[in-house]
Amino acid sequence: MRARLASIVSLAVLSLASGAAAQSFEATVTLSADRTAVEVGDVFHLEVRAELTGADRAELELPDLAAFDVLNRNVSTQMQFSHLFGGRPVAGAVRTYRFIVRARQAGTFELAPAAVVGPNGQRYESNRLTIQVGGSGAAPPGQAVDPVEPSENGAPFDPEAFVHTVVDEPRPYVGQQVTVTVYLYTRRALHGGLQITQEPTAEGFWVHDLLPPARSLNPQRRRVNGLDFDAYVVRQFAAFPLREGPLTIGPTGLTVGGGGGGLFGMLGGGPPMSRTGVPVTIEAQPLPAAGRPPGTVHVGSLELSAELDRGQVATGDAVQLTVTARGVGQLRQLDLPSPSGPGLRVLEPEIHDEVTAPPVGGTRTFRWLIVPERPGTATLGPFEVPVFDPATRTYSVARAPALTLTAAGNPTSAAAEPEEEANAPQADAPELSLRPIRTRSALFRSPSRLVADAPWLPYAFGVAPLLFACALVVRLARQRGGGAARANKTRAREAKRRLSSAAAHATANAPAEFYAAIAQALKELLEVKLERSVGSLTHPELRRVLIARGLQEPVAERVVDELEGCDFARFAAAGIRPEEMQLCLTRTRALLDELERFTPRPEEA
Amino acid sequence: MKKLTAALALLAALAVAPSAHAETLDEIFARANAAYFRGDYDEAARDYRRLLAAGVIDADVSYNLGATEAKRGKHGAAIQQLERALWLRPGDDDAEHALSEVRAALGARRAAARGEAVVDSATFGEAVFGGISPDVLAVLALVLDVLLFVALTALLLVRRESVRIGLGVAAVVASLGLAVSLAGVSVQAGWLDEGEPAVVLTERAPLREGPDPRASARHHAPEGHRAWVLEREPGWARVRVPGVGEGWIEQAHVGLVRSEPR
Repeated sequence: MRARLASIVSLAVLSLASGAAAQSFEATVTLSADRTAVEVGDVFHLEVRAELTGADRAELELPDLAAFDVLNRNVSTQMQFSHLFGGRPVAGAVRTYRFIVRARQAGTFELAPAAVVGPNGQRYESNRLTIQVGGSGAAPPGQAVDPVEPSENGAPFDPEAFVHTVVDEPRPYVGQQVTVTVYLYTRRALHGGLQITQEPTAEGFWVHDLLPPARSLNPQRRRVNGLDFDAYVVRQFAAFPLREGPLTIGPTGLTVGGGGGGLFGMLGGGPPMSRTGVPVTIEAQPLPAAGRPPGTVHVGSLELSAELDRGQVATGDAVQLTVTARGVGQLRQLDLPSPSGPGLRVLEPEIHDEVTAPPVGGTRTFRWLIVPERPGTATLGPFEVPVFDPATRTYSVARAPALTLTAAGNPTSAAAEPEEEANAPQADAPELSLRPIRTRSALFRSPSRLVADAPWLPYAFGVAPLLFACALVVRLARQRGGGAARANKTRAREAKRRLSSAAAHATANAPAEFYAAIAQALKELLEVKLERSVGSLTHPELRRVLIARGLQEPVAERVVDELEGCDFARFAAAGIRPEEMQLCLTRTRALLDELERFTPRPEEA
Repeated sequence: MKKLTAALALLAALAVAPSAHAETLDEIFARANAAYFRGDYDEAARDYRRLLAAGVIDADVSYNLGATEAKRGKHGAAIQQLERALWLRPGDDDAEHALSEVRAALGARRAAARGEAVVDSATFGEAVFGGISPDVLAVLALVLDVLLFVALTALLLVRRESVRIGLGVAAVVASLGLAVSLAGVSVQAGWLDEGEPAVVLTERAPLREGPDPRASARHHAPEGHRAWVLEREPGWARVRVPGVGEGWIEQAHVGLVRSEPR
């Protein structure tokens, strides 16, 4: 990668305005650094500046930076064009390369001059630059130095990158804080970012994250197996063992890279790289039995303080008792017994936690509301918590002194019952009015549900929809296959049925209704056959259409004659005899039979 | 010698058998009832629980045990047993009455201790459908299901407009009834429950971050509240208590409504 940097000879190709080639070419090149004496791991800036005048093409040679890590680089170009009065245009450019580099190893490094090669081969060189790199660099602030050589601690060493989980105390006591730090050791720059693909598990621990949610990844330099790595802290948390015995911090998985690597691929990009660490097991020890005080022991350090908002109150008034526990350790686990006393009613406490880190600690505040229900003086406390200090392996007792509460005035009615009784389960509570118990029982051995729990119930719900779906499918299939033909047949049958109603009208001697039915029967059948409406056609037009669609001319004539006769008879029905209607009925029946056999030609467009 | 040993063993077995046989479920039930009537609620509760341990899943036994636990002041356990009685026999008037009494007593006790009280009550679904047997709801849903699809099928076949209107109305009514009865069945059968229904048995039962007595307590669940058991480990259950939170609770602090783990 860095060799490519030295071989770049075509980075600065400047195409200037035509006519400028003939101008005289001048170049000034400078090489500078913000510091020339640094320590290993220090980051500093390098700059190459080339000022060109009168060139249409120039090549720039950069110094070899192989001895350094190039963290970032940018290039800027300022083009200049100017017309001198009465002369030809003059072109120029200022091209600046800025590098952010990091000293990788101690020594004296002389950077070769940067150079510009002009259009005619002339060479313009910059100054040389010497960088002195001291032997040891300072670790970035806020990061603990890893005391363990990764290759010795189960970390899956990889010459390119690996994940290393470090615990600061491999044999803690139950309840003692263990700080777990997960490092990524890599020799590749993190241009493509870093994603945690597998969080470390902490079964059997109470954990508290020690890293802020938003932070920048600052590496520190480490040498492992003769290779220099950048070590990044990717996770750090406090873990408190909840039980004794072997407990395991699970492996951490992550993916690095995938970015493009910056300009010309010089900045260390590449394909994504996945790495997974190994689990780390610690052996949690029980607290020493020797000298252990009774009760739940807090591991760490602890101070207790207690205060009452008032020392003297009227009977029945509430006072607030606040006990604050402050220290280091798992304070959220801390519990204090509620204070008690004769004639005192103590409500459930409010508990408030404030956690600070590192080391994990803070405050836990208990607030009780206490109502004295009888006059007198009560003593609250003292409050005591046994504490084990893992550093000195000794027990002590954190103590807050007792407080005195004085109540004056008449007792409240609720004071008749001692407070313990109000809190305790009450046998045969008088307010319960239960109905008699059952003296007979079938003593079933299973819930007696026949239908609701039956395994066939969901299938039974499906039967009716299934039958409906079958009916729907059959209907759709029938509609798709010859639905129109069936509809036509139906209409033809209906047309014939109209003859029956016409016969009834004839019998009833109702000529107007009779002829209307006859005309409708004829028209319906014609519409079915012709597949078009005939109501809007005049009789000559109907005749023409029937002949055009292939009906024999005499038959068409008879159809039209019959329709005309119907129209005439409907409006002059007075003198029509029943015999005439019977004859018309016979003729129409014959006509309908002929029309039914008629297959019309397709209608011309 | 061997024959003599075998004969002695046979005699011993014959001597023991009648006494083991005498301890029938009916006798345990009768003895528990007798203990209840003479006010020995601890003895009564012990015997009723022996019946449960013997595999009895009976509404009457659960009702009696619920009443006994209420008398002992163990309101959480009483609510658990009474809810089980109602699950086994929906609409049991005595059990409903006892449940409301126990909840009221629990609220009064909590108010006395804390100055305020929140007592769990039945959900909307349980309030609406709690009194109807799931069998009745299931049969109703089946009938309405058949009616709905018969009406829809008839709509495909029938041409007469008046009949079609009637079938359409019938289909709408049947579909509404089907939806309601299916909702009832799902509530009663627990199809939509997020876990196994259970009841918190002790006041301020700690819900811990892990199944370990030394794990931090995230929340404290009030006695008698509904808890949904999401996961179990030996001696522990991960529960969600509505309005309180989620965490691991010791098995002794929570009682399942529908069945005990065996």
